[in-house]
Amino acid sequence: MQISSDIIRGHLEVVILKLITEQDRYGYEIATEIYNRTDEKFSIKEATLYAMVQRLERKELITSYIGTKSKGSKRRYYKITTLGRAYYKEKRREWATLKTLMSRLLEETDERN
Amino acid sequence: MKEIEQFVNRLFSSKTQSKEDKETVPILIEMLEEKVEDLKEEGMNESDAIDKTIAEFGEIDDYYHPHMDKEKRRHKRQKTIEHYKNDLLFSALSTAIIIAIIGFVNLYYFPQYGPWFIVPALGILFWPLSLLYKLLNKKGENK
Repeated sequence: MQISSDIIRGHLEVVILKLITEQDRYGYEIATEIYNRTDEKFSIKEATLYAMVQRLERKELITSYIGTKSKGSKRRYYKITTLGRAYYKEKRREWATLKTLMSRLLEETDERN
Repeated sequence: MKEIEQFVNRLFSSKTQSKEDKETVPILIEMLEEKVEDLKEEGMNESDAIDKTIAEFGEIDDYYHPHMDKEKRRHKRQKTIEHYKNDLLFSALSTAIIIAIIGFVNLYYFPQYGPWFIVPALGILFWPLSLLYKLLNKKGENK
């Protein structure tokens, strides 16, 4: 089943931050990771991804530098900042609360039906 | 990779560019070129890699409103059309009133100079006409 992009859209910033928290990554690598980790059920449009990455950079949650990939070609890598890490932790907490609330709400609805 | 540069420049040419947009264009080109390079490393030929990159980019609205879904963006445009309609109505009524006043002054007080009010009347008609043009353009964009 393909995931509706509207549901996941609001959480993409946190997903991107999470991926960059793990290790420094470049734009297309982030898109590929999202696609692979969702078992090819969700692919982020590059326009959306690049807009979000640039916004995160403007908010100083991530920074960029030009690095070298394994085969020697240059890539613009994104790295999490201290501010970004704190923001990510905060969003993770928000997500945990939302997840609990949604499970409770949906489980209750299921029981009534 | 001229195709990528042309594609990004064309995307942004339809929008009024802010300072941020001007900084964005070269970075966006760089990011898309990185993707082409990656695809080539995976074994795709350059022309196919460029086509795939451009096809998968999405729409410029995804870039400007990454949090907004298509339905909301459409609604936003509809609201703009409503605004244009109101503007057109306002300009048409105002134009009619102004022309009536000039016409009255002309014919009542200065009939000896002929119907000169036609000249300013034609000029002011361009106000609603330009708004009508904008409205039709906006409607065309939505189709």
